[in-house]
Amino acid sequence: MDISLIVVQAFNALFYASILFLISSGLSLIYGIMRILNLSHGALYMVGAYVTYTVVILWLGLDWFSMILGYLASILVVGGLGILVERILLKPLYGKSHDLQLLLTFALILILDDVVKMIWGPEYRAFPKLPGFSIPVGDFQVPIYFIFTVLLGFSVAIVLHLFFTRTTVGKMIRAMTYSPEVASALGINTDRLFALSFGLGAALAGLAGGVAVPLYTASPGMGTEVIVLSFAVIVIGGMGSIKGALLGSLIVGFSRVFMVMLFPVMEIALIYIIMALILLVKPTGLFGMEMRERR
Amino acid sequence: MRRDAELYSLILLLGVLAVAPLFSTQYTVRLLTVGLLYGLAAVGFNLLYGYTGLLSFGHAMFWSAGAYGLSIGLVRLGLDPLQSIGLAFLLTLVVALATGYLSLRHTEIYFAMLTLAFAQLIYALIIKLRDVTGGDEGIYGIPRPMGLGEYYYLVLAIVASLVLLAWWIVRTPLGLGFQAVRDNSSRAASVGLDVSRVRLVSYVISALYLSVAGMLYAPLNRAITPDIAFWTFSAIIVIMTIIGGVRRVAGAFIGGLIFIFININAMRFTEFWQLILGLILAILVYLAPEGVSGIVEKVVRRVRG
Amino acid sequence: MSGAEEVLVAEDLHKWFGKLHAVDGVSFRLRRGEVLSIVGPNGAGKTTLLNLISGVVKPDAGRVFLRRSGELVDITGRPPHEVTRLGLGRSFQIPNIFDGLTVEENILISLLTRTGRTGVVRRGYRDFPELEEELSEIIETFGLGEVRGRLGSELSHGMRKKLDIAVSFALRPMVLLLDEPTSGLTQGEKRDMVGLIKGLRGGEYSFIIVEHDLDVVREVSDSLIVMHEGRVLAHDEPEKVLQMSEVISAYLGGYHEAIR
Repeated sequence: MDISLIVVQAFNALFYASILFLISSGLSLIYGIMRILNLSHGALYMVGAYVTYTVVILWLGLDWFSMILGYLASILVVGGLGILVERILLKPLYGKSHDLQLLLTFALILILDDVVKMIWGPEYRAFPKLPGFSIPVGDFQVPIYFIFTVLLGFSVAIVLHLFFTRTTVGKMIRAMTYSPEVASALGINTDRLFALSFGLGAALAGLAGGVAVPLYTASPGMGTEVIVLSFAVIVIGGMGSIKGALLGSLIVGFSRVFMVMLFPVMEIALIYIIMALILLVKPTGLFGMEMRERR
Repeated sequence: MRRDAELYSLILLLGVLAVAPLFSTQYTVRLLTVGLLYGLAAVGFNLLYGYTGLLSFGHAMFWSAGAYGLSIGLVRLGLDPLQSIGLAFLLTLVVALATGYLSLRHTEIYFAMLTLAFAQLIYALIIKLRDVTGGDEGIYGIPRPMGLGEYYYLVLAIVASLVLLAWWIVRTPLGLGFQAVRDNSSRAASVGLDVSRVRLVSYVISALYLSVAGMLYAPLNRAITPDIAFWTFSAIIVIMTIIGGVRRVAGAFIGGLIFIFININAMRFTEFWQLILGLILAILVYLAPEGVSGIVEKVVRRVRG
Repeated sequence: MSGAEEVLVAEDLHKWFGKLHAVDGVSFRLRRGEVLSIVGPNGAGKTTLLNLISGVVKPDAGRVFLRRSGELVDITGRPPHEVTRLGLGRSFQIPNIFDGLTVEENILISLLTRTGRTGVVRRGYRDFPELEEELSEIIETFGLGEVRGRLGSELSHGMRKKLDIAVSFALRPMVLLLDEPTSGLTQGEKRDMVGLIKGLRGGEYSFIIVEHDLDVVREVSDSLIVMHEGRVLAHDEPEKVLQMSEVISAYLGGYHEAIR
C-alpha cells in the first residue's frame, strides 16, 4: 500500500481520535465524579457545533481568529448550559435511582434536538471549506486544520492531566472519584464540585462540537451516533480515567479509519468487538479501577 | 386483592382493545396495532428491568432480530412463514445468548452501556451487510397474509396471550426469583439462587418478547428499515415502560399504548413533537417516577380509604 | 457434644487484603448441634472468616469442608448459592433482606430454593400448600405474624434482623452462620433473640455466631473462639476462655472497656 496514503489516513485517525477524546474525556469526568451517565453529552456536542458555526459562518467570516472566538463561544455557552442543567434539573435527583438520571438526560436529547431545529432549522449546516491550507503528502493532502486539531486535543489532555495532578481543585475531584465518602469527610464541598465538573464536562463537549463542525457539518441529531462511540471509548479506556479516554479514543479512531480502508464491512462493528474483548479480559477497562455505584 | 385488580384491569383493557376497531378508521386501527406491539415490547422489557432489576439500553436489537429474521426468511431466502419464524427465533436466541453471556457479568450502568454497545454492533452489521439486510434502505415487499382489520385481531390474540403469560410468570417461583435478584442479588445468592442463571433466563425471555413484537411489526409495515435497530429505539422502549410504570405488568403494557397516543397527538400538533415528548418525560421523572399505573394505584388506594 | 460427628471443618484459612492479613491460619471443627461463638474486636477478621466459609470471598489458602450425606465435602471457593444448597445458611450484620417483597415472600424464596422449585412456572408461588404450612410455622416461631404482609422496606430494624435470620433458617441449613444477631437491638428485642436462638439450638442444627455481647455469648454457646488480628487466640468452653488470664489481661479487659 502507498505509504503516503497511510500517512494521510494516520492524520485522519488522529483527527477523529482528538474529537472523540474531547467528547469522551468530559463524559468520563462526569461519570467518575458524579456516577451519572450523561446520555445528553452528544446533544451538548451538537450545540457546540452550532454555536461555532454561527459565530464563524453566520457572523464573522471564516478565518482563524473567528474560529478561536467560535470555540470560546461554544465553551461558554455549552459549559453554562451544563451548569444550568446540573443545578436546576439534576440536583433534585441526587440520591434517587440512577435510572431517573439516565431518563432525564435522555429527555434532554429530545428537547435539545428540537430546540436546535427551532433555532437553526432542520437542514445540514456545512462549512464551505476547512480553515487554513493543506500540506501535500505524495498524491494526497493533509489539511493544516487536522494538525491543529490534533495539537489542540493533546494540549487539552495535558492541561487536564496537570489540572488533576497539580491543582487543589483537581486533587479534590480525584479524591471524589476514588471515594466520595472520604471526600465529604475531608470537608470537600461536593455540591459545588458537582456543578463545576458537569460544567467542565459539558464545556469539553461544546469545544469538541466546535472543532468537529468544519469537517463533519452540523445537523440535529448529530450527537446520537457519536455518543455511543464515546461510550465505547470510555468503556475501553476505563470509566472515570482521562488517560483511559485518551487511549480509548486512539484505539477507536485508528481502528475505525483503517477498517474503512481495509475491510469496510466491519468498520464500526470492530470497535464494539474490541470493546467486548477488552471487557472480557479486564472488566474495568484498560485504566479503570473498581468503582462502586453511588446510592 | 391487588393482584386480582391487576388481572381484571388487564382483561378489561384487552376487552376494550377487542371492540375498538369497530369504532375506528383504518388509520387508527393501524396505530392501535403498533400500540399493541409497543405494549408487548414494554411488557417484555419490563420482565428484565422492572422485575429483574437490569436496565438494558439495547433491546432494539431483539425487536430487530425478530423483524429482520422474519423478513430475510420471507423475502430474501423465499422460505415459508413457519420456517421464517423459526429463523427469526433462532437469530434472536443466538443474539440473546451471546450478548447476555457477555453483558450479564456486569450490572447497573456497565450493563446498560454494554447492551447499548452490542445493539449498536447489530445496527452496524445491518447497515453494512447490504446484500442480506438491504443496508440503509431496509427490506421491502414483506407479505402480510391478511387485511389490516384481520391482522389486528391476530396481533391482539398473540399480544393478549403473551401479556397474560407475563402476568403469570411474575407470580411463579421463577418470577419471584427474578424479583429477589432485583431487590438484593447477594442475598439471593445466599439463599441458594443461581443469580447469573436467573438473570440469563430473564434476559432471554425478555428478548423473545421483543422478537415476537418485531416479527409482528414487519408484515404490518410491509417494510423495515434500520431505524428499528438504532439505539434511540432502545431508549424509546425504556421510556414507554417507565411512562406506564415498572412495578406492574399492566403498567408497562399501558405505557406502550400511551406512548403511541402521545406521539401521534404531539406530531399532529407540531413538528417539534420530540420536544413535547422530552418535556413529558422530564415531568414524569420529577412528579411520577412510578408511572401512570403508580398514579392510578395511589388514587384507587385513596378512594378506598 | 464431643461425641457428635463434625459437620464443618475449617483448615488453616488465610486471607490477605493487600498487605493486611485479615484471616491468618484459622482452623476449627464444628460438631453437630454445637453453638460456636466468635468474639474479638472490630477488624479481628470475624466477618471475613464467615465470608470465607460461606463462599462470598475466596480464601488465599486453606480448606473448608462441610458434611454432606455422611461425608466431608470440600466446599472451598464454591460460589455462595452452591454452598447454600449444600446446607450452609447465613444471616448478616446489617440485615440483608428483599425490600420490595413482603415478609412472607422473603421467607418463601428460601423454602422454594430448598425444595428445588426455583425454576417452576406451572404453579404460582403461593400455590404450594405444604410450603404455606411451613411458612406459617416459621413466621410464628420468629414472631413475625403481625407484619407478614408488609414489605421488607417497611419493617423496623429489629423486625428486619429477625426476618434476616428467618430467611436463612427457612433453608433448614445444617450449619447456620449468624453475624452479630443482636447488634442494634433494644434490650427487650435482645432477650427475644436469645430466646429464639436457644429455641433453635439442640438437635440437628449447628451455629457459628459472631457476637459482641458477652452475656449473650455465655448464655447460648457451647464453645467460644477469641479472634485477634486474624488469628485464633483461644478456643474452648466459654467460661474457660473467659477466665484465661492471658485473654483477660492481654486483651479482653481492654476489649470489654472498648465495647461499653
